[in-house]
Amino acid sequence: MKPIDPTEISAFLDGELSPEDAERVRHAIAEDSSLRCEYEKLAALDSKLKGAALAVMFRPEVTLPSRSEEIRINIPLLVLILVALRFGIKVAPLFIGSAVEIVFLCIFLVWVLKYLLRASEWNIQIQHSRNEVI
Amino acid sequence: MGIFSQVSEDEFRRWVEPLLERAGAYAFSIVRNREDAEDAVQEALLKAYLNIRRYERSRSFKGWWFAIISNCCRDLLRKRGRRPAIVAVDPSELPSTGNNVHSEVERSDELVWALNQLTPAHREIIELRYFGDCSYSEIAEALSIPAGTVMSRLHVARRALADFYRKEKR
Repeated sequence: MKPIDPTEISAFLDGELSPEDAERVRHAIAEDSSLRCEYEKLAALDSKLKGAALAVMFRPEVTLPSRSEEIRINIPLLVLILVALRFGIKVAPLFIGSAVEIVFLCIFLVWVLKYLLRASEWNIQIQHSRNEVI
Repeated sequence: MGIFSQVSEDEFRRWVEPLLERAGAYAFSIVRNREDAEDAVQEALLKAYLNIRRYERSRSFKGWWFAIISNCCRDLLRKRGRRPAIVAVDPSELPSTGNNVHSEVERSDELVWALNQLTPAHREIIELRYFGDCSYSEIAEALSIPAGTVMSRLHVARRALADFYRKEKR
């Protein structure tokens, strides 16, 4: 039979061995008093550590940003990039010609401005605005 | 999630929710008080959310996220000029969990002393294993080391801890 490596006793305690190796270690612990002594020492420590960990366990109150928040941030940027790619820098003259187009341009520029302002503080917004507590 | 992300928001939430309590305990074990632990977990949650594109599905999400939590805790301690150590048992700082916390605290005084005698690498692996309840593969992911190294390092850390603990009891 393959000799027992001391680290295998730890792994056995943690349930991290394959069924065959676990059986081999279980058998060795039952047969060998020094291995049993080592196992019992580690098992006692394991139990104390688990108790200490349970004592400090708590559920932190954290928030997760919503998907709509991020999409609201990203869509203006995507539109801006697409328009810039399509028309280059000569965007403005295309909109001049009708009142509707001028209104549209104004709305678009406000939208972009709003994005730029929001982008600088988006981390704060993600934490504090319309977040869902999980 | 981001538009180009392969992980949905619901999926992210499903991964994170069952880990929150252990994330709290793990952060608490490093930063030593509840408020800082909450701040660190919140920061780590945002960092994970914003960098989820860097996460590979073939790897352990818990290990990946707990590595971020560890970094956030250590950044927080650095900012406040404190050293990371496990002294997580001031009863006034402990959250109410429904467990018999105070008796646990009294019984763990020697253990806390022993934990503080460990090297940073050994303490880190004990924190992940017990406070974070991480498996070997999750620890390997969090520390970027092979699973075999986790097994041997954890064993050495336990042996050292058992020796320190025995000395303290004498």
